[in-house]
Amino acid sequence: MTAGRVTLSTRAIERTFGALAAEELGVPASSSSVDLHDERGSLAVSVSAPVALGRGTVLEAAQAARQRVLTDGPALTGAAIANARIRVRSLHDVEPRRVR
Amino acid sequence: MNERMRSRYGRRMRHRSRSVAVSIALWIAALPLVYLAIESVLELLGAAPLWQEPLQVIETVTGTQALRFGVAAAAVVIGLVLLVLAFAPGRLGRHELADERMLVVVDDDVLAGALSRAAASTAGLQRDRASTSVGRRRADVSLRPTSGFAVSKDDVDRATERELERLAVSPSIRARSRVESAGVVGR
Repeated sequence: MTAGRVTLSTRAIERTFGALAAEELGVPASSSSVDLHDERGSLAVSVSAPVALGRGTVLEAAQAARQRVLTDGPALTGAAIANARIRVRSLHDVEPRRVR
Repeated sequence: MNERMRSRYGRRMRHRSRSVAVSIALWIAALPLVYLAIESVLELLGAAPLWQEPLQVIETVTGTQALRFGVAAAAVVIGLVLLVLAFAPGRLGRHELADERMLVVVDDDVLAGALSRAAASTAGLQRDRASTSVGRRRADVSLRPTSGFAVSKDDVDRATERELERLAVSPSIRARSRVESAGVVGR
């Protein structure tokens, strides 16, 4: 028998999924927010984040983010994901602003 | 303590005593008889009756059709209740634990707690995610998994089986576990 146990907090799982999606969307991880729900014992993930301009179409970026959460999410956290939804909240202009 | 005493005391603690039912039944039977006896004595002495003369009492109680049926119905109900109390096993929700020197009787709630704890710790869940109901021969363990983290029913079954083996309760119990399909997010 093994004593003790390891559990991941909900917050840690949320931030992991948020960071994965944000990376594909080209925005800072902190700008994403994640909601987790139960889907017959698995997780239903919905990520809401802005998307950066200039990385293909918004739809492609969102699709890539969804794929990333679905493949890397379980690999990193060990949690089974039933489905993932990405909500693009706004467009993010990543052109660096000139400071005069 | 020899084996016979042990099993007798165990039985006593696992079943409801019939003494309350017996004393109530005796009172119900005795009060009318005592009353009739008093009336009879009063009549013999030629004194005035408390209520009515003995034969008159029986007449009054069974006088009309409605009263007759009422008295009969009451007697039937009381009789049925007494029969049930007499023949029902009157089991209390308790089991005996195997112990060499002592007789240990535990409430089923305690067994349920032990099984829940075993199941939850095997499944890696908080204690409050497992609930168990213990019957005389059966225990049903139900687990609420954390969303995304599957629980192995076989492992849980093995753990509860091991726990029951360790406790060696009698009458023996078989545990059945169930993992609920809906999970709870996180923690």
